[in-house]
Amino acid sequence: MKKSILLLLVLLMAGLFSVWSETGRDIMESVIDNQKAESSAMDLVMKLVDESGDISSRRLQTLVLDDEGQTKTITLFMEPASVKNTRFLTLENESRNDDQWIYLPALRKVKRIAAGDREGSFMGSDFSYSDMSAGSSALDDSIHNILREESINGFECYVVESVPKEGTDPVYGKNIAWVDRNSRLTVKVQFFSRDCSEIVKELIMEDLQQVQGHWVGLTTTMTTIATGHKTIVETRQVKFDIAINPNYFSTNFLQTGRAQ
Amino acid sequence: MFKYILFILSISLCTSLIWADDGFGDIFGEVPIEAGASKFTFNVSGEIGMSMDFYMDDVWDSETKATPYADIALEAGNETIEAKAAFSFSTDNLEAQLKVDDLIDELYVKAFFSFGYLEGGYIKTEWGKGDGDHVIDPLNPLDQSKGVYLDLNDMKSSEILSRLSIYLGGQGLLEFVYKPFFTPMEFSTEGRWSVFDMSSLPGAADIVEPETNKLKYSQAAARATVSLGAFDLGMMYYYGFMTEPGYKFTSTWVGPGPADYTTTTDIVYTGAHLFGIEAAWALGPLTMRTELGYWLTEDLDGDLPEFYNNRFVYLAGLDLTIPGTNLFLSAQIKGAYVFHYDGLVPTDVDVMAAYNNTAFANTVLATAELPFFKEKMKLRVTGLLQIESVGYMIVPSFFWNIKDDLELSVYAKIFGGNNTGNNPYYSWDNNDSISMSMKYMF
Repeated sequence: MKKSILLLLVLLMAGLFSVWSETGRDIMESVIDNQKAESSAMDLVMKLVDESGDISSRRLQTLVLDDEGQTKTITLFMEPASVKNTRFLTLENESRNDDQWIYLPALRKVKRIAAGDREGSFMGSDFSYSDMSAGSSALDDSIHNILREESINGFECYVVESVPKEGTDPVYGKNIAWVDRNSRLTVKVQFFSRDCSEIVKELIMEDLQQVQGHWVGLTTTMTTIATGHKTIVETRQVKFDIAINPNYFSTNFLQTGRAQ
Repeated sequence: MFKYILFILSISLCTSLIWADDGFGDIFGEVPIEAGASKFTFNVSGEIGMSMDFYMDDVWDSETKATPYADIALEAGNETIEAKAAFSFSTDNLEAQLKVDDLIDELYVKAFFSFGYLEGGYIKTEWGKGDGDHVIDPLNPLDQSKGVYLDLNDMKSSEILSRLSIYLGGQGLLEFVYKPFFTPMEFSTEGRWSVFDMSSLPGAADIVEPETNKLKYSQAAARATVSLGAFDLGMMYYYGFMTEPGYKFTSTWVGPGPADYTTTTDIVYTGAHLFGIEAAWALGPLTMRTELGYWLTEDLDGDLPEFYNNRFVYLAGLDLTIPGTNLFLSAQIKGAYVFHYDGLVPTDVDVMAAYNNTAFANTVLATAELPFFKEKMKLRVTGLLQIESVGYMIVPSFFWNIKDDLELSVYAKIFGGNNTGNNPYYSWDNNDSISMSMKYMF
C-alpha cells in the first residue's frame, strides 16, 4: 500500500515536473521552431465559404526564404481569373516596416504598398494580414501562460493563453492556442476581441503530416464567429529547405514573372 | 505598319503550343524542369460583358446606349520568350470608321536574356509612380474621343515601339525605348465628348494635318528605376514631341481688295525634351508618391504661338487604408506651370489650352473605397476637380462580385464647372450618366 502511494506520488511529481518544465513561451517558441526552415514553398487552395454554404476558391503559391534572419516572401495568385498573375512581394526588415510591392497584371505595373493594414482581410478571406504574418515578433510581443492540458480532436494538447504586452499594438485582445504535445502544431486557436469579451475568430488545423521533419496541418479552417463565414486553406504541396532562386524575391520578378 | 503587325502575329500564333499551368513550375512541377529545358505555355484570358449607359440630359441623340464587348488576350511563352495578342471587340467601334487600334489592343513579342529583356510590337507602357495618372509618361498618347476615364490607362493608345530593359540587380531596371512613329492624342471636336470647337479656328475650312507615321517623327526615351530600402526611385528622359496639337495660321492675300485674305491652318507638333524624376515610399500606413518633370520645348522663349512653351509638371499623392475598417483613401494632385505665359494672344496654343487663362493647371483626384461582405461588394466614390476652371467629375460606383469571375457594377458620371471659356467639364455638363455593366472574366 505504501509502495503504491509512493509510486503515485512519484508519478504525480513527474507529471507536475513535466508541466512546469516548459513555460508557455517555451511551448509557443517550439511551435515557431517547428516551422523554421531556410526556405519553404506552398501550393494552396483557399476556399471561402459564406453563411449559405456558397464556396468561392482562390489558388496561390507562396515561396519563403530566410535571408540572414530576414524573411522574404513571394506570393503568386493563380485563380480566379480576376486575380490571376497578381504577384505580391514582402521583404522583412529588422528596424522598420516591411517593404511590400504588388504587381497588378491588368496594369502591368509594380506598386509599392504600405504594410500598415494588419487587420484588413487577406484576399477577402477570414484571415487578416496579421494572421498570415504571425511569427517571431508575435512570440516576443505577448506573455504566454499555460492554462491547462486537455485532449481535443484526438490530440493531447497544452492550452496556452497569449496576452499582448503593454506598449504593443495588438489586433486581438488575446488568443488561446491548443498546441499538440507531439507535433507542436496549434490544432486550435481562439482569437478574442480587443476587450477580451468575446471570441471573434476560431482556427482549426487538421490532417497533420510530417514533411521533411516539419509537422504541417494540410487543412486549416478559420471561422469568423459573428457571421459564420469561414475560410478553408488546403495545402496541395509543401516543401521545406529546398533550393529557391533568390531572384524570385525581386521587383524584377514581379514585373516579368521570370527570375534572372 | 500592317506588315509589322502581321509579322508579330505570325510569330505569336504559329508556334507549337502546349497548355500548362502557370506558377512556380520549377518548384511545384510534377516533373522537375531540367536546366536548359523550356516548357511552353499558352493562355487565353479576357472578359466579355455588356454595359448600358443612360444619359440623363436629352441634348444628344442617343440617350440610352447598350454596348456588348469582348476583350480577349492570347499569351504564349516560356522562360525565354513571351508573345501577346490582345483584341478588343465592341459594338461601339461599329459606329465610326474602324481603325486598327480599335480592334488590336496590344501585340508584342518579348525575348528574355540573362541581362534583361527585349520587346517589340504594338505596346502600352506606364511610366511614373502616380496612380492611374502621370506627368512623366509620354510614350502612349491618350484617346479622349470616347469620353474621359478616371484611370488614364483606359484611354491610352498602343504604340509601335521597341524596348530594351537591362536588370540593375534584382531591384532595378534600365530601359531604352525607340518609337519609330508618332501618334498624337485624339479628341472630339464635335458631339457629346467635344473638347474643342475646330470651327472656331481662323482657317477651319482648310486644316492640314501632317503625316506623322514617318521616321522624322521618331522618338527615343530612357528610364532608370531602383528600389533602395524604403524608397522606389526613378529618373527618365524623353526626346520627341508633345502629343497635343499646335495650330499654325497662315494668311495669304488673294486679292483683289486689301482685306481679301485666306487663312490656312497647319497642325504642328511641338518638339520637346522631357526630363523627369519619380519616387514612391511607405511612411507608416501611408504610401506616398511623386513625379516631377520639365518639358524643354522648341518654343524656348515662348514667342512661337503654334508651339507649346516650356513647362514644369508635378504630381504628388498618397494612399491610406484606415486600420480596422478596410476603408481605402487616395488623393493625388497633378499640375503644370507654363513658362513665359502671358495669356494675351488668343491663337497661342498655350492660351488655347489654358484653364481660365492662367499659367497654372492643377487637378485633384480623390478616391474613397470601402469593400464589404468579404470583398464581395465595394462602394467607391471618386472625385476630380480641375481647380482653375472649377471643372469637376464625380463618379460614385458600386461593384458586386456575384461569382468569382462574374461582376456587376453600377456607376454614375456627373460633370460640371464654370463657363470660363476653355473648360471641357463645363461643356460635358450635359453628359451626366448612369451606367450598369456586367462582365465575365476568364
